[in-house]
Amino acid sequence: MSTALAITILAGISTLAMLSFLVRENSIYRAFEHIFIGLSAGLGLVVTVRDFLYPKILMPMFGWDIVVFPDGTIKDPGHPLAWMYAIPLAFGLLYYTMYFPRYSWMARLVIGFSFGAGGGLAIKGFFNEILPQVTASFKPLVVFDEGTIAWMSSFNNTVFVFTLLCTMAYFFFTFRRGEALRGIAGSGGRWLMMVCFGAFFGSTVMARMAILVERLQFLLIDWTDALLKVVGYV
Amino acid sequence: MIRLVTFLGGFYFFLEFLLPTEFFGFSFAPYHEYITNGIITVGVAAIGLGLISILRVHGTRILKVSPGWFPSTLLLLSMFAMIFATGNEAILDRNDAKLYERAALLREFATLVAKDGGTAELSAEARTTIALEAVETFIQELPTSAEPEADQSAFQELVVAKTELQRRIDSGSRETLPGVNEGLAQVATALRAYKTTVREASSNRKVYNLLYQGLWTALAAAMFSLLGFYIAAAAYRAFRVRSVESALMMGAAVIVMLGQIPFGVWLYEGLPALRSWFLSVPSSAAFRAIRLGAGVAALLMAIRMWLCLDRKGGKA
Amino acid sequence: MIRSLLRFIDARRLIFILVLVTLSLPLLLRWSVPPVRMTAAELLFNEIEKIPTDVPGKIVYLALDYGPGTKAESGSQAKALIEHLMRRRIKFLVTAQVLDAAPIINSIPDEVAAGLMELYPNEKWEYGIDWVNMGYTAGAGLNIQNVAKAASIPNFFKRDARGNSTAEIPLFNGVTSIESVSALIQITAYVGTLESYLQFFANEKYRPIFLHGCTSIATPQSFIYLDSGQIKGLLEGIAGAAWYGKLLSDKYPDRPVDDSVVINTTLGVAHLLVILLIVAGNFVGIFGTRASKRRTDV
Repeated sequence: MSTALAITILAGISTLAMLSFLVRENSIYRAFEHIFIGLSAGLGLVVTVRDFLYPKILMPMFGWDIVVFPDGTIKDPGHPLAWMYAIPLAFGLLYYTMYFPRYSWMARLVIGFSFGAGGGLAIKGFFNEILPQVTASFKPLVVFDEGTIAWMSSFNNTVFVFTLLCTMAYFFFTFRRGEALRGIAGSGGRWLMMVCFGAFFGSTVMARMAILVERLQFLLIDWTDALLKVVGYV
Repeated sequence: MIRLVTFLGGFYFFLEFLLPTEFFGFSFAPYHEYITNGIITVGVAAIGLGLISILRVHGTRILKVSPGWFPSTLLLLSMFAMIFATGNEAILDRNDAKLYERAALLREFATLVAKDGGTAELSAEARTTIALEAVETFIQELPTSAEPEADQSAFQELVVAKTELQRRIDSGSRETLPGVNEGLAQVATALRAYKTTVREASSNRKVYNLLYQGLWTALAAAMFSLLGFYIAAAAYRAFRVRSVESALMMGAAVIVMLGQIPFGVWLYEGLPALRSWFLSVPSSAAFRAIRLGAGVAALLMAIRMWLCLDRKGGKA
Repeated sequence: MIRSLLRFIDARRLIFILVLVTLSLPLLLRWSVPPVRMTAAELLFNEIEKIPTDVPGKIVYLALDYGPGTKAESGSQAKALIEHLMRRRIKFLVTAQVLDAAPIINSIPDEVAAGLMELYPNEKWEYGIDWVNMGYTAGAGLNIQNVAKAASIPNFFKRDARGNSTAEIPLFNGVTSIESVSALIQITAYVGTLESYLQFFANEKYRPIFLHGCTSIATPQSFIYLDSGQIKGLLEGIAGAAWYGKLLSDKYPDRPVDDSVVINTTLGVAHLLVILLIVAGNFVGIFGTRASKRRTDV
């Protein structure tokens, strides 16, 4: 049996094992589920080392990226400051103090640092991503096209701004309840959000079914074909 | 102490965001990559925690032969198999790349010597000899016999290129270095073609493909495909019209669903356009409002995290 | 035995069987109906058509941030887009910020190139010349910001995913900073990955055109970025990929029919089934409640 055929056969068995969960949870499903977790963990570890730790940190840190011509002249001096990567590496290793109760407080330093860095970065990210969103929300309610009113665009913009304001009003909890305007805007906001969630549901159906259809296509066509080849019908 | 470290963690990005790229004639740009790579490294260092957790939980289960020991054994076996296969692929890739890099470096050196001649320390003749000797050593390190499963014609092409390069070295002088350079380019191309066939036929690649395509890809796709069945069941059991809100939701869902499938136009030709309008006008506006709210909340959370403004939990 | 089997097949399992049978039929019959028009996909197609191919040192930055779980949608999009880039001879760099995409970004351009070379035996698409794989990069937004700020993208990456030095890769000839990136194409199945690019993939002077492919589930979310102009084109799930395939076939008539059309047709059947199930569920809900009320009244 060729490797390609073996791969297809194995992929079909794996797919069926997963789908067997639909009948009821069973030991075959559980076995393959554990295999999947194991493979993911193994792949994650190697890829992180291969694609980040080794080329970006270890190579420059140990000077493995310095390139020298055969006559001893230096072609690429590498990163002169890369030895300093030893500091974050050593700091990151403090995570492992959590296994030693006496020193476990040190792990909190690293966790705190990572949270802080994430927070600092998120501040910048917020402005870069959200400000264009705010700007794009100021739409003209009456749109002119070559001197005449573009009715469709005007209608769309009006609906857009109305929906945006109503939905935002729904989340304003600092207003006093019972105010007429807020009541109307809030209800309108809720209804319009439902329209949005409906669109999400419609899109979700497509996303989930697409994955299922792809698997069924594999089982019914590729896998069946491979099975027939193994049995000798094709 | 923890507060200080947390603050310092975010301080750099805060400054980097606020301050101009050059500050009092000092630019942080050359150091930015080091700093951010360092911060990523701190996070990446945690990857071993997952490994330790897996080994502890599943290792204990296996050693004590407690319920679920068999799936745990499979988990550990598959994890080590994947580490071995992918790791070995990475090592083989690196070894091959080293050879290609050597060829490229020797070509660059040959060009340099042919163009510039000698340096302050070495004469042009001495550098030429070094270049030719280095190429000679490189040739000796190339494969001498074909791997049985590899493409034999690709190996023959490599042999031809190698012989030609050897001929050019034998009659080598500074003037013929451009020819050596050309010969090296031919060897590099032939080597790459041959090595590709060797790798594709290798048993490690076969094991890797079995694990990756036969198991991992298929299992991931199949696991997600289960949701297709459950969404159909949920549509029957849970999507009930009981209020104006649920009616609106169902209406929008049906329009979006019909508008994105090929049969929708059989019912009403304008359905795709209607779907598009739903998505780009009311749905977009409502989602943008949600996104803006969530964005502001995330910003406040980020500031609270960075400045450690959350209080410790405890009795009121 | 039959009685116990019938007892085992409850409403939920009956629906599972119904789904299985209904979806299998169009797949076995290879039924294909032309896909529905997706205007956002047309925008993307036109943007790629606009990318000049005669400017040296320009590349497209292709970020494939999806795993095998969503290969039906994201994989079809990636294949269609890569095919378009390759046919137009637009050089591209492929990378990922999610771990499980690492093997995919290695294999998918190879597959598309092999398919094209089979179709056009006199033409060649080569790794390192037409595309290059920079592998998975850890750090999400942090790393994306680094790429955007780097004075030289090849120097920043140093090596590709296959271990080759970027200095030796012909594709990088003339490529410098982010200003060498004519467009960013990001295909994702993960929440937050597009946002990472929107937030950080630009410098003070330059921001490339952003093009995006999302799974259907994220379509409503992606529309807000299309409206604001932060992205200039969008592929909406498999329907977007199918329409993109049709646009490609219109431009290149010798192009063979791809699988996304058959999948898209079967998906249409799946949608109709879900709508029917919603109607049936409501029917049973309304009339079931009335019947039980009547029984209680009696």
